[in-house]
Amino acid sequence: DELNSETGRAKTAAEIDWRPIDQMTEAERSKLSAVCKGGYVVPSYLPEGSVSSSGDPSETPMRVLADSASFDAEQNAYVEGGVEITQSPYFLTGSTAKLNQSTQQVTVKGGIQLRSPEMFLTGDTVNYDISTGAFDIEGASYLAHEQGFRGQSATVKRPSENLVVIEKGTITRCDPDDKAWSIAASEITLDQEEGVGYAKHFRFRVQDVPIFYFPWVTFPINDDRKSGFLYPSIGSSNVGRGLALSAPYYFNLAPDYDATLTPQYVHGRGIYTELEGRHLNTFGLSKINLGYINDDEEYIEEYPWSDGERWGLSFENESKLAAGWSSSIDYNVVSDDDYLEDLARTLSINNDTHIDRVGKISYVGDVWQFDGAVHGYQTVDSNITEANKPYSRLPELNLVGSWDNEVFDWTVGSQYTYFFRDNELLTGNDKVQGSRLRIKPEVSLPMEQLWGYITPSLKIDQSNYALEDNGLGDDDISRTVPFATLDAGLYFDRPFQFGTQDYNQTLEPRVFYVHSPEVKQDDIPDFDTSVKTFSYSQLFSDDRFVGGDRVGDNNRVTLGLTSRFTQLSSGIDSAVFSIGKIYYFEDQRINLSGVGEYAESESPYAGEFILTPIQGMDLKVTGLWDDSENETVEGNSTLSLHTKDYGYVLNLGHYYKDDSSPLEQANISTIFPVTKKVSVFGRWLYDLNDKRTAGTLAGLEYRSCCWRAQVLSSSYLTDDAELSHTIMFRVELKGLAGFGESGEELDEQVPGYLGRESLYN
Amino acid sequence: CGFQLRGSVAIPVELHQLSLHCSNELSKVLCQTLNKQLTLNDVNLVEDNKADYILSITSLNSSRRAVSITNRAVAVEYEVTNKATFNLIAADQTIIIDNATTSARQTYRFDEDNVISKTREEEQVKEQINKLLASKIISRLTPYNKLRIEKIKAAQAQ
Amino acid sequence: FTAESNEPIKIQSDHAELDELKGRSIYTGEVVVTQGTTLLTSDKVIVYTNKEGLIKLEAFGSPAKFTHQQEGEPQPTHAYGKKITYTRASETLTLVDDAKLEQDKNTFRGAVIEYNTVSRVVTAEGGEEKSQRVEIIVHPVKNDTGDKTE
Repeated sequence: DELNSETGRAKTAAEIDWRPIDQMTEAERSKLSAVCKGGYVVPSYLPEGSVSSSGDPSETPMRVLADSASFDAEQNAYVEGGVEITQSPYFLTGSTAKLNQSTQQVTVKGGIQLRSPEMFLTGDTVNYDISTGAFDIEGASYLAHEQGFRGQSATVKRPSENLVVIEKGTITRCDPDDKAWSIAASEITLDQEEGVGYAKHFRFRVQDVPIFYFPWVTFPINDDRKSGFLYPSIGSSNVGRGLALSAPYYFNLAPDYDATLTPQYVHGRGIYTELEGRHLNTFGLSKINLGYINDDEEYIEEYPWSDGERWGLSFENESKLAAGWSSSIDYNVVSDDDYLEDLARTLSINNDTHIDRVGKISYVGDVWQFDGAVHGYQTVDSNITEANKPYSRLPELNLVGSWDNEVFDWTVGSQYTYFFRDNELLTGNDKVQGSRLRIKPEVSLPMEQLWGYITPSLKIDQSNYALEDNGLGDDDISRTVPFATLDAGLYFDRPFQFGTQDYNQTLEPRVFYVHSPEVKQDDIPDFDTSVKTFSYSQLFSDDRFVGGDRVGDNNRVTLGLTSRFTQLSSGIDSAVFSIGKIYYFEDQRINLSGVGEYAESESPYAGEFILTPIQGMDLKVTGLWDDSENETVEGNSTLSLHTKDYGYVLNLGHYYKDDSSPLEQANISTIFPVTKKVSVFGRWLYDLNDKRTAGTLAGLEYRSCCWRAQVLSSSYLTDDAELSHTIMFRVELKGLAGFGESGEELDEQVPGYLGRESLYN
Repeated sequence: CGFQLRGSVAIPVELHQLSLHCSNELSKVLCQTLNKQLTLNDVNLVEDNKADYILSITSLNSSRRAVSITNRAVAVEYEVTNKATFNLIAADQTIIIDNATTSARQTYRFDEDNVISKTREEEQVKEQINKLLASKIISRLTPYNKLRIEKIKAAQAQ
Repeated sequence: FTAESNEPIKIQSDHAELDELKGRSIYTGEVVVTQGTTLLTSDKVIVYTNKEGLIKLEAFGSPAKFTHQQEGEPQPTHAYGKKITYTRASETLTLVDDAKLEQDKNTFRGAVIEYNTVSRVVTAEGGEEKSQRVEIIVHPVKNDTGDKTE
């Protein structure tokens, strides 16, 4: 059966080891993507009784089986008839062989097959060095089972353990009879150690017809996330971008750093080039991303005084230092406010309003936790007024310590921040800047039992300001606010049955009292403070403000009740109901320019309902209901359904706010297969108040075993509240060119997309 | 109506000699809450060599997505989702829980004029979610009594 | 055994049976044949002679064992076979039935192995069944330490 029925020539390595699905074992089939008709199986090729190798060829004996053999005086062997040479883990067969003792070379001719754990090769002749394991084969066909690469070539050489050189060869990932795509090159070098492939005179072919030519190319071959060279994305959009064609080019500069250059022709703007560099050292990974266009015609039209030169830079680094210590840098800067929207378009539905520049060092230990950071922003949303632009924190230091003995728990949270802002353009109190030192020692007495707990605690919130240009009052202010809180709860259980499942239902009443005096603070400027989102989880927080410039006055008690249905067989909460309400004994007067006051005696009911009865179904409804006016103040409900393999996904969402800035939006996103190979995914966010679409994404995907193509069209709101559209076509060649990081952005729009990706690849 | 004050510990006695692998760098709140709730359930936390079982939190990642936006595509609300992966392995290397995941999500209102305070609020939201993940992980240990563990060991013995 | 060597061939055995007329003598019982450093041990040996001297020597054993030390060789060559025949005219040793030959670190097996004691050329043939194929075990020689045979 060694001859290929159609072509009549000897079967290639891939054809020999290829098995249709029905001839594969369950384990082999599970590794296969659902759209593939079959896969490669490594047969157990070593004849029984062959000794397992120590890995170093020069120590492993070679065993030759044949019909006849003869030896000359110099111990050179001539062997004929069904030759089988085993030097574990290599296994070589052919019709005749010659062993030259002095050069330690074995030459085998006549329909040879060479097997090693990673590769299987066939050919006409092979020279094999038994002391190093190096070989070269003429008229070769080869197959790398693990990565699924196959191909044919004039010669295949393996000069050293992890270097394979393919001359005048082809390479592809497609099944043996599938010519969807392949790469031809005069020389392809696969360096397993560096994880990189190099190719000279590289021709990308579809159905054996060359489409792209590149003189010299490198591409990653390990399973690194950056899995791609050829990433031809052709897109168009009516935001003056028109057609955009990009073809990134990958440089592997050294084992620990590489770069990708992406020249991109953008119709209507010009050539926009992006360079991404990555460097890995013992401490961690650094990534730099530079985008540059020298004369953006569209931008010049819009802003005639500009020279059209626009750029964007981002640098990220995460490093692990000594035990417990780590550092991170995230620096971003762009030349103008529209840069991100025009040139660095991502697929996410919302635009960034600020971009971060932060350098941070942190330590986390069992008792102490420290982080020190310098943190600034570039505001890229032109609608934000100078006065509302965020301060830079140069620096901010946080030090938190916590201890406990048998009786008490102590924690001390301390924070020093210097707030700085360029205030020439500002007037009056907006010019203020300065430093704040805030120390919050707290002691609590947790009395915990199986059936309940009661935890009184005392806290002092002490802050000292040293300000410059404080228009509201003097520059040195100190504020001391003592807090007393009491948190108590009980746990009740009872068995509960629903259908065939047994549950444990709990009833968890909870009382939370907090008292803090009203301390005058209206001469303190607002550097970093606002009122927290009021929701069920806020009912049991001791302060309505977040940030340090306002510390709330409280004399209130919260009553809450939670009931949990825990499935006994899995320990998973299939349903959780929670509801709570705050009762105020005094009005809350501390506010931030009018926000944060509250004069009612009760808060609205805050509730949360989570239902996850089966794997793949998750319903969550949270809301605020004002019982005095009998109306919903706020309500979010989301339902997500997906099959185990995320083949079918449906997410529904409804977001409703009836307060100072009313909002009602509904969202639907889905993935569903139309046929085994064609799937559709998409997302639609609709604004019910403005009665219009706030964002859409539609994707059509054709998936074959060794390649995948997607058409993506999305519409998104821009800075001037107009809906703009973009269409993009892109191809992914399995194992050679992937979609890169855009999977995350798509998962933001269609939750479940990444789940499906991990199962399909 | 059948409710009684909780009388028995939730975690089976088989798991009461446990070693917890949870690195503070993942989330100190998660590790400390796990530590406290395990102790409350009469589990004594010991070194690996003395432990019958090892509970390891293998990963914790957090993601954020805008769920409602203004007409200028500025996020009105962000939904933060934290997902923890954990496994429970017996001293004889039998895998009782194999890389299970648990996740929880919560939304908060964004305000582009208060970027710093909203970043701090997001940190607090993450800490609240991590506290919830800790109790969800504890609850996932409850089914593993003697009978259930023996069934798993028998299944893996074949 | 080589004709050129002037060493005599000595044969010791428990008992021997000489048949001058047929030019044949049979030795049985722990037969040891020596010539200088060459040694052949077996259970039974038949020697065929004529006027000029030795024609052929057949040794039978389970197996019969032959060792031969060539000058300049690090190790002696060992040959085994249930029947070992030495024919003087062709200076070859023919091993049959579980035939095995060890030279340096390499070993050869097969249905029939022929070893020329002068030219040191070895040829091996397999038998019909699969189990009787020629087998050669070669130990790679580290080319850096270079103790290769010239």
